[in-house]
Amino acid sequence: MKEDVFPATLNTWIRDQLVAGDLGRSEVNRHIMSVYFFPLRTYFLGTSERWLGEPEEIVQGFFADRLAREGFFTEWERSGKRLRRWLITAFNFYLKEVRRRKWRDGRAGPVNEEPVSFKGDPEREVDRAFVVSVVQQAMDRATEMCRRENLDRHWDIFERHYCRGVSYNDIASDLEIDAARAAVMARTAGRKFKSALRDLLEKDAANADVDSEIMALLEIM
Amino acid sequence: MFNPQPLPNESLQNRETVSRLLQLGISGPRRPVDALVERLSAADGVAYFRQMIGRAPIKNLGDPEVALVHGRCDEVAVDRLKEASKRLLQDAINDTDRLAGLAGYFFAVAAALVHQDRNITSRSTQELHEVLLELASVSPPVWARFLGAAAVKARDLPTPKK
Repeated sequence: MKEDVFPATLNTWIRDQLVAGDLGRSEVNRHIMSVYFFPLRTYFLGTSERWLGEPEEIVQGFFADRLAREGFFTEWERSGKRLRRWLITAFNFYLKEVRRRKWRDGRAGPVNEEPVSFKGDPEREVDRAFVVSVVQQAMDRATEMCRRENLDRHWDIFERHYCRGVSYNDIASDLEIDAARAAVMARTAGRKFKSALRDLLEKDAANADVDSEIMALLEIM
Repeated sequence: MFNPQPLPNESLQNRETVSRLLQLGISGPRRPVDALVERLSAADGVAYFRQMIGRAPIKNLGDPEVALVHGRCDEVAVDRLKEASKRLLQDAINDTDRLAGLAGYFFAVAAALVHQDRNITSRSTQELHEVLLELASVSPPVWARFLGAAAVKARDLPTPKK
């Protein structure tokens, strides 16, 4: 296996939540499911085990099974791996279990014990999917923050400019404001997005230097 | 508990879009103006803004809104505000002085750009554009429009020669 692009770190946010008890654990599970659903789905679609079932069903089954296990995160900490690498390792074990179960239930022919294989570069694909997922989560959070502060229009301008590539001049003439105002409004919404994005990356990185994390993620895009 | 997660938006299928959004998360090395932006984005930011423009060197111009936002001060007065703000920044003994110095400096630069078509700073146009836009996004509406207009002018300036 190739060397991890990112340094192995222990995550303080996850550890703190787990120490906080059931509520904290639910918070961690919610976070894992929202951020890692898409990377795991992407991984599953590229594996030799695609025949096992619908990606949504398989990934949700994995979450239901593993996140309920008592020592799951302790094992991750012990592994010293980055969370998404650890989840992929755990997911591979889960896929093998599903394979055996299908065979036992007579829903599949004899199964071999070959390791799960992936077409292409799994780490790169998973990392890219992770970035898309984190950016999507940050957008969802920023939308909500803007909505709460009556900044829906600001968010709309941000989204048009940064996601759809519409120029400030065109947005301004559409909304009957000047281009400078449109740029300032997008910046206000952009501050919410930035803070949400950094917060999400901090949760998973534990490496306090979020800028370095972003630079490394940009490299793989 | 295990609800199906929605897939990412269609716009995020484009790698360039994702990279552009990811880049927005970079903070870069901390700039002095970041402290001013942070202070103005606090819950009492508007009150702090009022307090800041009500003290020297900005208040020396008279009504700061009339002088700077509406451009009723001449080039000499704008240059004087810039120099006085730089001095305050250099001699600052606390954050209040430092932030007032920074605000005065950038307000003078913005007034020169918007009302006098002058660039009175040697900062790069990109840096100036970013700083003014950032300040605009945390300022009260009238000032936000003024600083936003200055940011747009700064972006369109020719790059200063080194």
